[in-house]
Amino acid sequence: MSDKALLRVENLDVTYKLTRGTYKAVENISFSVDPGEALGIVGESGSGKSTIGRAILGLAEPTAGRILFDGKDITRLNRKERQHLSSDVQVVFQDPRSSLNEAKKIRDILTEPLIANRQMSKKASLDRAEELLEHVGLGAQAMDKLPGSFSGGQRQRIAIARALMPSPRLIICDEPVSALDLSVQAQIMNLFRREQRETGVSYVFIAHDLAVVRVLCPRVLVMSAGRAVESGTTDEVYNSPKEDYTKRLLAAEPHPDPAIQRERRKAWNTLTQSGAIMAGA
Amino acid sequence: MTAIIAPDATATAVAVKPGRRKRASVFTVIAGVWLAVVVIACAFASLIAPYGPLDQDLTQVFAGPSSAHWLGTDSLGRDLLSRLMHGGQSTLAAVALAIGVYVILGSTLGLVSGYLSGTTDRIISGANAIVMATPHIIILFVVLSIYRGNVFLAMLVLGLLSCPVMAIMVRSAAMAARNELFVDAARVSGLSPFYIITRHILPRTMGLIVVQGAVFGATAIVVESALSFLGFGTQPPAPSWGNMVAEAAANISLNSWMLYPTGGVIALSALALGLIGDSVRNSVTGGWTEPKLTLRSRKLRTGSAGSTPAPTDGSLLSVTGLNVGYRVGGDIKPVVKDVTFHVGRGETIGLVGESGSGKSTVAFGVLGVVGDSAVVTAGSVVFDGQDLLGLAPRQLDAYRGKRIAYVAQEPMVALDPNFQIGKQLVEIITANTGLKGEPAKAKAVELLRLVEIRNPEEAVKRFPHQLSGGMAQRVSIAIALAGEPELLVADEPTTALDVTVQAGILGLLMKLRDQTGMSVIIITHDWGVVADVCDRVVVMYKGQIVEQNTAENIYRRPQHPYTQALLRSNPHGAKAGEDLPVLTGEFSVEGIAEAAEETSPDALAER
Repeated sequence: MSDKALLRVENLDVTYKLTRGTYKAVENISFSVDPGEALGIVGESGSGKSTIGRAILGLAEPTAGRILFDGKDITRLNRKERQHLSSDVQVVFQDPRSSLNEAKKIRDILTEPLIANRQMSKKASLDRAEELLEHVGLGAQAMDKLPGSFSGGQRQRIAIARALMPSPRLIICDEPVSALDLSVQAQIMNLFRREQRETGVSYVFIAHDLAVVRVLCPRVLVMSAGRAVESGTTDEVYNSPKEDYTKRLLAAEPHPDPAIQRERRKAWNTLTQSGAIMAGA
Repeated sequence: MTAIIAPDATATAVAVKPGRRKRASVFTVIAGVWLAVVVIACAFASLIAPYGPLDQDLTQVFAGPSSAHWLGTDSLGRDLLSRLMHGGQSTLAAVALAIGVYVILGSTLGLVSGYLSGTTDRIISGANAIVMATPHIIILFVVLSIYRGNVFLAMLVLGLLSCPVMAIMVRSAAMAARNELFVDAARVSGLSPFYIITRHILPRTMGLIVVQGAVFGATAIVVESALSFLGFGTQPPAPSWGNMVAEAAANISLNSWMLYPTGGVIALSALALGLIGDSVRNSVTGGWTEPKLTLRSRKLRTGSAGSTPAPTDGSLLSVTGLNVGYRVGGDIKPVVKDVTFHVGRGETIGLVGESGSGKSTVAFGVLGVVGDSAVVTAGSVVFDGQDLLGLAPRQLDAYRGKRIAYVAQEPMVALDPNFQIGKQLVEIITANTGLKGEPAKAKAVELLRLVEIRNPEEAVKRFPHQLSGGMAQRVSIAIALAGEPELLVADEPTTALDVTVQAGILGLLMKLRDQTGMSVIIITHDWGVVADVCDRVVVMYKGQIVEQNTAENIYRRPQHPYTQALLRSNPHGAKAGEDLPVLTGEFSVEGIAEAAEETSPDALAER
């Protein structure tokens, strides 16, 4: 933690109201991200990792704690303030199918937010969109197509281009590669890396896969059931996890070498006794 | 490393529906022309109608069609065609008014309540429910008895009374759209609710609105005519379609002809409106609706293929020279080319490849569900000595779901949300084994125990939405096991699950395989999954097998450059803080046959 932090999350709580009772999705989470830094947040489904991202983006309302961006409190913003912040904070979601409106052309998907918010003129935003489509490897001819004519990886490139449109300083990546093929995943991860090298953008990179996080993020936060269970440099956490939860998470990840995986499978089976314990959880 | 990015292989989502499209468009053209003719004829009735609406010719009473009166005349010798044209003016204007009110008010209410939800939604939905509960026809009668003959008011009221139907449908579509991530992305940009509704939600619900509007328009034509028919609408002698039908009905014994043009114009216009709605919907949404896989209704294989004798090397399943293509117009675009592999009893085969590699098409071929637009052009799929591709659908039923079972990536597709999982299991058990009642229930509990669900006696009472993803996948495996299959085809069964849950499910599959001796084909793109469960691996690229070998050999000595590249792009082996190696360019699929031959004896020996 330092004073130059671009994003600072302090004692964040998010509680969802359900039809009956409440559900604490995130409890007492604190971290910070410096300019040009990438922080990984890892955990299983239901761990609250996505909720943190949504709270930063204003899509989930924090019940306690503060979120500071560039020293300014952004915990609860009205729509106008959120509009203003959108040129600095952007998002890439997991599901490239759902994150692009299939009824709209790529040109509109990329330019409309900026034009509607009067952040850029129509001409300038169209130029920028073309430039970014080239940049993410699709080419300007993608402008007039519908999302339906692209594969998952290509759609994710479009989603990244949309996030890059206003030249943001922070991008929240919510499982951006977990729906993609291996080779495409590698390309997209490299695209994220290149973007960071070239523009110094910061990332909060949410994923369930530590191996993926390791490629991009020097630091990582491991979450379980709404709480942070472990944090540190990614190498430390990956190579010598301290907490049982992290150990389990790492032990469950299958290794591509069949010989090594056989040993890991034996260890996993002993760790979980019969493998049945999680079934009813 | 800066240069990445050979563009991703475009997924082979081949949208093929030219046949149906064409036929639909012929109807659309006819319907469109008809409506255009009717509207123009009515609008310019005063200019082009051969007679005035009230011109009488008492010498020509109840005349049939003639050169002077194309559609004949009525009881006062008035020209039917002219009266239809003049009468259509008020009918069509009134119908347009009703459609306008219905579409604009209904969709606005639906969009607002669906997108905003909360209190707004509760108020609008409550009001909708009240209006829907009122008897519309009685209210219309009351309105018309006060304002006698005011068709426009009546149609306005009809639009108001009916719009809750539109509102409710649009609401649910809007609610679905509102949960999509692109709406979140728009909210992150601080766009206003009005902007999001009009620019994002509305386009997604447009198809529904158009179809609903058209269907309602057809209803409105009929209702307007019915009201006039009953004497509530336009009052004679002024013509309207409805009161002309009434007159025709009254004189049906004197002249039955009169009913045909009057009733016909109403029926045809209503029909045309419905047809137009359908194709406007298609053109509004056509860009993003894709054909889905459907159960085929005829034999899978075309052409002269199929003479290949069944290889009998003890394999449970032998796929030989399989070629599958998608129909595109008159051509067949090949998506699976000359695929040959074998699955021994008790063996687990990994079918590895990326989207568009054809691995799922191969699996669907094995299951006999390649879809409407796909066709097997050559090859055979021999299961236990029987070529499945030569079987009729009825005969295939003896295999599918029984001896060959399927587990999908998304467990919820296998489960009906309306029924307790016990019921669903019993249904499958009865279909597969003939067991009924208590024995079937006992079997259901036994199956759930087999897939390691705790308290199976309790679990049978649960509904699918009460299950976690991992538990739902276990239940769908239990369903697959109900027919005691010899071959289980699992399509990315753990891709949607957490790694810890995945480890459990894969462990379960291995245990079941060892207990029952069944064979497993597992489709995956995850080398970890391959290493965990597979004996042998079939690597597919662009519809062809580039390499097959034991899991061990594939990992240690991958022969094909594509396999090598795919293995390298796995983040597991990556160094922290370095770019991942990526696959660039195209891989040659040549020379693979050799590699496959080189390795297959090896593989056979291993078995």
